[in-house]
Amino acid sequence: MSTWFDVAIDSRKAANELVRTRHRSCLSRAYYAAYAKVTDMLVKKGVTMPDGREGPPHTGHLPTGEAKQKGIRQLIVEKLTEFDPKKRRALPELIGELYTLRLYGDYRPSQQIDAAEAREAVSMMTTVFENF
Amino acid sequence: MPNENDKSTIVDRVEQLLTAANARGVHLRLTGSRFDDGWLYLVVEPMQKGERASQHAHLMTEIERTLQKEGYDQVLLVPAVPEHSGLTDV
Repeated sequence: MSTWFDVAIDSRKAANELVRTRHRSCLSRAYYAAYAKVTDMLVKKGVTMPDGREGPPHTGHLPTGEAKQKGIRQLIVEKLTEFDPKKRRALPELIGELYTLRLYGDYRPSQQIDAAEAREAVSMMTTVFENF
Repeated sequence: MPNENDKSTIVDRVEQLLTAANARGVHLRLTGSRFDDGWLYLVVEPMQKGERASQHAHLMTEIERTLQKEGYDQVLLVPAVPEHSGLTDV
């Protein structure tokens, strides 16, 4: 059995391995590494995940129907209150930008992604691991 | 925190900021919005092919920061994905 932290470490290693050779795949691993790291923090804070899920919805998942499920960015703002205001603004921004890069990497082949995006994603991922 | 009545003001402001970004060569358009539990979601998508993904990601953050400075701190710009459905058109 793995923890969210284990998942985070695995994805981080994969992103680092892919950064020079597989730019779009690197974006996906970098986002999921950061997502898993933040989810680990939320779980340790006692945040309960929605029924049927082990982690929070991604930021692009809009709330629909009866079941109101807060996304990861909202949960950071509302639950990770131990961070100073600057960090509480920065972390959701990092997650938001990584999520956008991940979506573009997987769903928008017509948009430009190369080594610059991969390096930037790894840099943001590293910030999530080392500063939070 | 925005309320339902702020929605049209914020949407207008975001349209303005997107128009300014278009003039700088970064082309995103607003395609949907939803207000829920104190959070306003604004969905954007690319208008042109071949632009850098990182420019779009940065622009979304820049607009969120601008809105925060103007007093709207629970607004999220999110990229359009195929699974999005049931949005309110802007």
